[in-house]
Amino acid sequence: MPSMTPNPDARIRDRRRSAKLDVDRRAALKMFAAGAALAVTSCGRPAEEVVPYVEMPGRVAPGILLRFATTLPLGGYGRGVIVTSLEGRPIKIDGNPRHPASLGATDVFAEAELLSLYDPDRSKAPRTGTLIASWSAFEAALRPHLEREQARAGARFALLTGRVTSPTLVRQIRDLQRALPRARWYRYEPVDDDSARAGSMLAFGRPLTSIPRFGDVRVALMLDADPIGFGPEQIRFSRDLISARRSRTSHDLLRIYAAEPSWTLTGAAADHHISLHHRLIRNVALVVARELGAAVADAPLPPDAEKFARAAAADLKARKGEAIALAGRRQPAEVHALTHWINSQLQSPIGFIAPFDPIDMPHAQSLAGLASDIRLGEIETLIILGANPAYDGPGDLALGDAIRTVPFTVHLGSHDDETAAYTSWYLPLSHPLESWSDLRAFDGTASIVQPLIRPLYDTRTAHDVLALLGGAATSSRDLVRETWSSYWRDDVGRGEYEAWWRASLEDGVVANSASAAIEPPTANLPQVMPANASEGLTVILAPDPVVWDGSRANNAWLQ
Amino acid sequence: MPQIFRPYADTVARAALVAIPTVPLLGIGIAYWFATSNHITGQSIVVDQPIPFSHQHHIGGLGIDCRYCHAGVEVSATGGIPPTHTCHSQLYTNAQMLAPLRTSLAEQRPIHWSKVNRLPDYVYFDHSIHIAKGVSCTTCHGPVDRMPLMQQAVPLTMEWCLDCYRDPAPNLRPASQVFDAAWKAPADQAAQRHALLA
Repeated sequence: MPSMTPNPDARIRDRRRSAKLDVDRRAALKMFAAGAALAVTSCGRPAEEVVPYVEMPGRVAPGILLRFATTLPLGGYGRGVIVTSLEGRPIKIDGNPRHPASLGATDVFAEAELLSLYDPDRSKAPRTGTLIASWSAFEAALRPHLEREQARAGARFALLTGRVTSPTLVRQIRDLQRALPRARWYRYEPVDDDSARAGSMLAFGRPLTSIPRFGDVRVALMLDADPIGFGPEQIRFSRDLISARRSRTSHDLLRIYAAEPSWTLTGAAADHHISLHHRLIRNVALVVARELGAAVADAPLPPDAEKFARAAAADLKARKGEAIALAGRRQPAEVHALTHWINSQLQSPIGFIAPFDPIDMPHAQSLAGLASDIRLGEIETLIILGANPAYDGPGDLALGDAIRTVPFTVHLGSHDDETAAYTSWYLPLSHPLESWSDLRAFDGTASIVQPLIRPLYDTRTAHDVLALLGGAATSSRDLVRETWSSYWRDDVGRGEYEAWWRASLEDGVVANSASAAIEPPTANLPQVMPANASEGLTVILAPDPVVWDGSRANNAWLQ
Repeated sequence: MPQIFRPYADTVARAALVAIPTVPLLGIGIAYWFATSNHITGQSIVVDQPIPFSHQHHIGGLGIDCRYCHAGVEVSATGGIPPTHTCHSQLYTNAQMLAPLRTSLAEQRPIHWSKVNRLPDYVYFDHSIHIAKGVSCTTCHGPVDRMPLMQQAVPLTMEWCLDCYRDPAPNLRPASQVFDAAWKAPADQAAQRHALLA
């Protein structure tokens, strides 16, 4: 028998239970039966439709795959791809064997661009504040600001871009700078090459881009460098490096020494690997330089690292002409300079080209310059093309708040992102698979970006927006063709332009457009102070192997 | 105390004994019959189309080749439905029946035909290879030259497809006769077996 005095706790518990789900067994069975009955009635297949064209476009045959060569950017650099298109829709991305940055291979970033194209979260229309607007409304809003800037030669006009390698975009920006001589151009790429550039300045007195020829290398010392990991030139470097490791005789095999603070693919593939504090990497470089006869300070290293460095140095010395030392992106300029000196002592197989980045200023300095110019009130019109500095810029610049204080700000981007939240106008950017453009690969090879599909939404390219700023409504295609017809006149000049243009499109590469190799001056031995073994933690900022600088965060294939 | 089992209990027990094996078998049989019935396979069912297009008139009557409209059939996975532009730009341009065609062309909006021969999504059927190997249009689509309105002529079940794969020879023709809607198997079809399978 239950107790006659009801327990108040139990009563509350009962009430709670009934409040949660007021279904008894009978009702549950009824619902179950109804569900089963509904499931049976829904068995029939839905009707399907066949929808033919009204007028069949040329070339397209239903069910037949077409392949087009184009170029996709990563960090501003182009990588050649061949895109498969079915009935007018791109469905697969493969590497372009003719393109030096692809050689027929792709990486996750290139393959996943397809999903970014069809991303339902892409921006579909211009926006001002919280209102959806039209492009003509934007043009109308832009005009008075542009006229004011034209009157004062663009003194308060600023342009912020990512890394620009597109010859057409560079030409357009140069034209704009001619029209507005005092306009400022800032560029910021979160995955920058500032220390490599500064290292080249230290060693050679001028910025040079070094391109290792891994095919000729037999001993490589990686100082936090990751040439087979992920990045704009990594597809090519991996191919070269792995083929050098597949040489037949053991004497010809590429041997890799890797010292690094965090795991990389290169470190995983290395024959000799040592985990070392980020700051101690320079000491390895110093020990190697000392072994090669440099008058540098003695650098303390833990015993195993010391042994590693001496073994690497001996091996490098023994394979002069086939040995190389590489410093990683995160290492300071002095370490880069030191590796340049080591490589010049070793007569390493490295090609040098002049950097084709039109801006000499380091990325970080350029962005800091923008922030301070805004704070000084020197900028009234700010156009941001494809960059997202409010997200990937250094947090202490507080760029978002700074951008908010500029009277007229425009952000052109594929997604309504962090920077777009602070600008007065937000414009949707076309995906590379919808755009006409051109890009240079890491070695300077240019290739055309041709659209696989018409823009899915009311989007425009950076070329369109720059044409708008210049006051001429020229299509991206005409702009790109203009660039290359003048290139053809100056540098090719034989045959017929149309045939040359068509061949460039079909091959996915502009023939012989790679930057000319230059003979570097003798590398100076930089002053490098050895680092002391430090206690405590060091934060290393690195691009993500899948979402890169964060711009691919919305792509489900990259999670 | 009454008897637990009534006189008819024996009958019930015997019937139950018979039912235990027969009812499930019957159930399976009925389900199988239902699954292969026209209601499920869609065979011989005429679906509504925006324009009552007659294959009988165009092929049987006028003798237009299949490939004139289904142009991709020899090279592509899909035969293809002709674009609006192909049809009646010259003849009977005012017929009431063809009003949707004119609207389509005028408004540049495609005609939405209802699909007649439907395969499941996991079937990657390729027309071109079947044509190349001598399987005729009519083998699967039936005597379209005698169909005033298009209908599915065969069950298109997996069993039906596999039956042909088990012994394709009776369904193969010389390449020259693949598009002949009125073709009849010759008496020596069996003798040509090796030539056709080659």
